[in-house]
Amino acid sequence: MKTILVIEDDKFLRELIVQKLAKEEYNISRAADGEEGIRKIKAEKPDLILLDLILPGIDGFEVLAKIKNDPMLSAIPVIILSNLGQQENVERGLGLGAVDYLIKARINPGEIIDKIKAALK
Amino acid sequence: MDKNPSGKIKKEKRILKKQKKDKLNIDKDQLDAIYQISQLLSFNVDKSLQDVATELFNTLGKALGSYAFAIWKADGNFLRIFIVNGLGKDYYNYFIKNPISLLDPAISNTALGRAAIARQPAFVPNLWEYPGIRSLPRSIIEAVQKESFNSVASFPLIIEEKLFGVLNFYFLKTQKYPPSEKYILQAAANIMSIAIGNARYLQTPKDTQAALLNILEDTETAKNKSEEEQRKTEIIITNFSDGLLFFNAENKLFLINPQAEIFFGVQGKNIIGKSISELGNLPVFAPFVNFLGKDLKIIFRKEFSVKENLTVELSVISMGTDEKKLGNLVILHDVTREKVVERLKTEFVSLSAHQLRTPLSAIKWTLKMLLDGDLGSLTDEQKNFIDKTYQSNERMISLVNNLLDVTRIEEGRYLYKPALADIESVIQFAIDSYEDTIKEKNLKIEFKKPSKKISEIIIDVEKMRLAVQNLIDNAVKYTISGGKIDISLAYDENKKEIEVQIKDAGMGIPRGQQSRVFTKFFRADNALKTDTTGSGLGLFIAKNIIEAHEGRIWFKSPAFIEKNAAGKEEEKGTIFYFTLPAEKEFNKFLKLL
Repeated sequence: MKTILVIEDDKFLRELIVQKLAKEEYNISRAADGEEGIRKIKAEKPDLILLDLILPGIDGFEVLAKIKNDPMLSAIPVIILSNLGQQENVERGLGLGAVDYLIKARINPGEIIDKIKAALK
Repeated sequence: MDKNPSGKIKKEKRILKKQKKDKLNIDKDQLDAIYQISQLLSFNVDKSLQDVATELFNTLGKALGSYAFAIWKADGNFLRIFIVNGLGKDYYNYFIKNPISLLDPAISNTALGRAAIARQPAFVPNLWEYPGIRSLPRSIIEAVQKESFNSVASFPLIIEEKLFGVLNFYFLKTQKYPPSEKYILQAAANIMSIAIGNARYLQTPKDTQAALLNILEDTETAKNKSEEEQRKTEIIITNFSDGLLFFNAENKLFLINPQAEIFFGVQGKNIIGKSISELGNLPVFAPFVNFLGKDLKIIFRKEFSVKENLTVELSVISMGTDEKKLGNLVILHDVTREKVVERLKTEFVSLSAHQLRTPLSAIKWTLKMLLDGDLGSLTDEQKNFIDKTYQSNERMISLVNNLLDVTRIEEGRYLYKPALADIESVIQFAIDSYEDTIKEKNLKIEFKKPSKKISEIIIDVEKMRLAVQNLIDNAVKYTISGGKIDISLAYDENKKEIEVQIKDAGMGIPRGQQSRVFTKFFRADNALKTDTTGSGLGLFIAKNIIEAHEGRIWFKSPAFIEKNAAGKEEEKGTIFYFTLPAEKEFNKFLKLL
């Protein structure tokens, strides 16, 4: 069973995703901020990371950069899940190595699952 | 035979004697008068023309039995009353207001007229028996009647061979004007001419003095007035709350008011007289001079940052007339505070809108999960309600997106990525995104493309899609089922412009509200009734996008007239037009980045 790490600071949103993921039979790990996220990545080496960008402390871009700079972690696919919609952010995120960039207010939980499945193939 | 022949002869002799004696007396009086008048010929510095005329009248006039005289002055084709003595104010005032016109045929029949025109003395023994009097205007007759004269003698006054004017002697009783009397009157007129000639030649000091004093007084008054005006202007300029700089016709600094001195941190006296380019050498003025340009072109309320924490609205106004340029006035209106408030407002909206997205996303996902059955099955009724809630939430998300776009436009951070792109495919993309709605409403949509493919142009693809989508959104939203939407794309070779038209068969835009269509949050009354959910931002955003690409956007409504089902003519539809420059580079766009 694959493990998915959800890095999201809003509790309600985080639990919604978790609930949806649980139905698809994934192992779920959670982090509420960037530092906790990095710790868990290093410790658990998940199969995929769902990464929010606006986080307390270090933001999602920094987390992404750190992961991709670490040869042991850089292979893990990262899907950005954020409300920052401007093109400049999308390009920055994809430029840093994310495999996909999803906008929360535009996407549905079902679609998130589809994207995760696609990335894990 | 006579009863008393010697008595009768004695009587006749007595009468004759008396007549001779009387005549002698009259002659004597007249000779006396002439003698006195000749004294007037001797020029006297203390006498003005009026004085001379009065003396003349007092001596000769009285001796002759004239009760009043008047001198009329020739002025082109007019005779203006000049000096009077013995006549009433009404008579004088009337003729001051109504100078006599020598071109008037009725006047040429009067003594005055004849004297002036023929330059010969003219005598009217009895005014009222004179035929010419009937053709005179009523008002003149009335003015004459107010006086009580019945006889007039008019003499031309010739000085240096030119007609100076006419001298009128007025008599209460009708006069016979025997030759001796005519002779004496002519002599008087001649003396008057000489006196006037003397006066003019030597410019009687008393007259001159009076004239000069008058002129001096007028000049003083004018000077005081102008000084007062100047003082008023100075006070206004000094206390004006905006900064003022005045550059003269040679573009040199002529005036700077205290507020402008404060803005630039300078003392006026140090910089007055400097040209614009010289000012540009001073560091505080460099950005200012740069902004103005070399020629001080007319500017209207453009924002300019004088220095940190000082933003002004700058205006340049040309002073003077078309014929005479006085210079240019530069006005600096402090808007620093307004800018700060505007920035705070935009930041607030941006922050709030952003914060709203998180709970809106949460609601969206929850509702979707409910609808998908993830949280248990729903009855049809429950599904229905939740679906409506989901749609409502979607609209809120859309509004928040629009708000964020607006704040970004206001912050100037809107256009991001110019790239060469095919405008046809951008429009097609926008049309395709409305495929579902078009099918639902059974709308016919036609996209007319140009026969020759338009080459790629530089646009921000994402924003351009948004602009076109907003326009198509309106076309689709406000056209009833079964209606037709025409979209056309064309290229104007001459203007090097791309033109896009989006025509719908909808309800149109009411004429009275057309001027507000592109403003933020504006929704026309008929639109509001049809769809209460629009944000009123779509066209504002579209306009900003098009104009940021240096294009133009406008509309025509109604687009056409059509007979409805009842046979009545209806105004329908709207056509939105926009243009885009089809050049590979445009500087302004690149400047924005």
